[in-house]
Amino acid sequence: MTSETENQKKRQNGSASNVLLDVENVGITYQLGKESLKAVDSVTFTATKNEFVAITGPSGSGKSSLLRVIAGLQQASSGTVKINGVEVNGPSDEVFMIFQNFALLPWKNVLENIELPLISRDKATPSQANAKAMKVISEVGLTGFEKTYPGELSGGMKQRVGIARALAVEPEILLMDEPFNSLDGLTAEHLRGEVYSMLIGTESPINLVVMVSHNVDEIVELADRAVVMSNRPSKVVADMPIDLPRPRDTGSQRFHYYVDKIYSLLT
Amino acid sequence: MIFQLIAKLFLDTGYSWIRMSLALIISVIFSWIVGVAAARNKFAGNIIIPILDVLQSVPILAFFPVALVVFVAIVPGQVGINLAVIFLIFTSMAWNIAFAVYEAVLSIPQEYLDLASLENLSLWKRFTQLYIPASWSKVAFNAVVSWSVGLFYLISSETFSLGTKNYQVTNGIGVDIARFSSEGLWGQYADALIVLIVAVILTRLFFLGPFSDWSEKFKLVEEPRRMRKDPIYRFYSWVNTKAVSKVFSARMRSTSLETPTPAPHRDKTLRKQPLKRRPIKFTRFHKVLGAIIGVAVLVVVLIEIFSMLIASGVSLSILADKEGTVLVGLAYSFVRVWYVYAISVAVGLPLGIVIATHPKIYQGGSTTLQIVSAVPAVAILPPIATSLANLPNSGELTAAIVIFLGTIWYIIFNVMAGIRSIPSEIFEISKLMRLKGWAYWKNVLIPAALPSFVTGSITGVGAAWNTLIVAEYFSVSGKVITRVSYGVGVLINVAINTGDLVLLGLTVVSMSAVIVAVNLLFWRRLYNYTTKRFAYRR
Repeated sequence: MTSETENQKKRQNGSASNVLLDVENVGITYQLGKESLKAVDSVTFTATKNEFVAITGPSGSGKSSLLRVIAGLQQASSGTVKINGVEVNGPSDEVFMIFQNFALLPWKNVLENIELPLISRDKATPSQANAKAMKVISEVGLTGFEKTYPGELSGGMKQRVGIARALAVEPEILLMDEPFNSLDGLTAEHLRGEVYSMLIGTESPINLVVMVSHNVDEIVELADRAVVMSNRPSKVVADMPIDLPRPRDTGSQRFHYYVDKIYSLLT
Repeated sequence: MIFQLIAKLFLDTGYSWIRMSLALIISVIFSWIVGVAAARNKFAGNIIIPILDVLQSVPILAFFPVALVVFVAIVPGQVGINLAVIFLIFTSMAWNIAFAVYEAVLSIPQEYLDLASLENLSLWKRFTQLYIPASWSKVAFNAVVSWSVGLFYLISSETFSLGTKNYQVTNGIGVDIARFSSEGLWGQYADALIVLIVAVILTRLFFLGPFSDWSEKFKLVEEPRRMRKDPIYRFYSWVNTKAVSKVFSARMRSTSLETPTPAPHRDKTLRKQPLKRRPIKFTRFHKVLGAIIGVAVLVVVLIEIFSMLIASGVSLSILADKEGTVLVGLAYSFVRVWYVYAISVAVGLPLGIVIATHPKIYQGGSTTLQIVSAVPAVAILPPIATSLANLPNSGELTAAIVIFLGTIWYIIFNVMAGIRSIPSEIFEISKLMRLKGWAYWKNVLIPAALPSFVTGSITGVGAAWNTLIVAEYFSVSGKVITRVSYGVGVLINVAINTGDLVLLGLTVVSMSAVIVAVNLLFWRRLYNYTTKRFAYRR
């Protein structure tokens, strides 16, 4: 609970000067042979420190593409993305990502998968990387699975490795692309319950989480704010705060109020 | 004059294409029968799959002289020669198609099989409405592969010397290429080669290409758009695609509407046909049983052959002497195959990775490579041999180059297919991890390419052994164009020319034994290991 009150304190201190992520008039157009397909017309939103922002929209509205533009993995056709006031041009040091299908390397065991970005991205020595990896492994509950290969793990455990890998590199901004979508319902629910405290604990260096999801319950359970996109070519139809105390009671009336509201915006 | 020549070359190619097409049709029919039997009947599967596995790996070109003699003895003249050629091409085309049918039928979802049982479909209807549509797309992909492989055997077999006697079909592009090159008519030879390449491109564009495009419609499980549009990926994607026909499900519905099956009938079917279909699993018991039967058959056959040889006056010492010669040749050829394979890997692995990871190179490169690779190595052997003739060790050099050309495509194409099948998330996480240069190759690209690289190596080394038989010793109408000093290719040709059937038999059997042993002891294990550890989503 102490972490919760501190987070809220942090949030209250947040002001316009604390803008961490600035998405300005971003448009995304695909070239399919001679045809061009406009997925995202124009999206604008900002996010401040200590926020958990969810992006949602109908399928084909380009929400995953938008996340990749923020990550610097994909070029926007128009508009700009700024992180700490600096325009994104390729993957930036502040950003890391958790993927729908985990994106683990099958030929590396759990420990090696987590160590790899520490060595290649953060230039850690092997012993530093090992110490760091062992620490996050215990944080996400993977102790005892260090030498296990991804193929021998269940979906839920694989995503824990994905989370551990992201935590280890200590990004300022963490992007999540449908992180619970390829897990079965029960596993997803379980992991969702733990993920918030893993990501936004007092010790966590993560200052902003941006999650793409089409699961409305998931969004209301986790996010501080929901950015709702329209059908293709998409625009932002709503940017609404979800003002619920944590830990969130999925059975409460307020919870259902938000779920219904987002559903009505989506249809 | 030139138009006359070109017209004749196209006419001859037409004749050759008829042989190829007949062999392909026979291969497909054979594959449907054998593949379905192996997939649907556990007992048949336990026998058929290991046999196909061995037949796929032995160098069939070595058996061609025997087939030729047999066919010409049964049907003398042109008909016999043509039958022998078609038979040889068939033996080069059939195995991968049969495996494709086997895999496709094994991966038919259980619901479809249950439905077929409930509808009480006859065997014929099961074939026409279930097995054939379900395997159609894999057969189409493999037909393209088989066509390229078959071309090598077409060119090698349309004209063939047995001792002093030359067996030759009347019209065929292989005959033209051999004749022009042996007579040093390089202008006409070039024309013939161009006609062959044009024919290959036209066939790809207007026959095999549309055929496999059209067969895409038969797929129920769709791949991501990036994959579907990708020729190399499609070309080699049969390894793990589940193909089931939309046409089938539509027809199935109409069948049930037209002829509703009475209920008691259905119950009988349910009891008669076991609904649970278990994929073939080799237990320890099966393996031991198989090994015992295999060894027993081998021992009986060997005893029979030995007693026949002894009875016909061949002494054991002569046999041992000849086997000694064979083993020396085999050692030379073995080293040759492996060092050329090593060069192919050193060139093909990085080249495949570079092409597959650069979209711009890939766009133009993949089509060009497919066309270039379709030109059989044996067709360009004569100019290589002639231009190198004055160098020291020209025979060795020619053999190495020709074997290299027969091997490298399998490495390149499979590596490319492996890289192209990496999920895009892996490329994205690599960028986020700042993996660059050697670290990127070592941690991501090379491991990701490994399973398909091993597959390519197995087929590539197989192709190397087959090419070697031609590349080590090549003659046209009794005139030796190139040869090495020692090697099984030399022994096979010498044995054929001198009519030494004992030497021929010993060479072919020893060579096949070595190849099968290496496959079982080395490649099979490597394949199992790499697919277990390095493949995505098992």
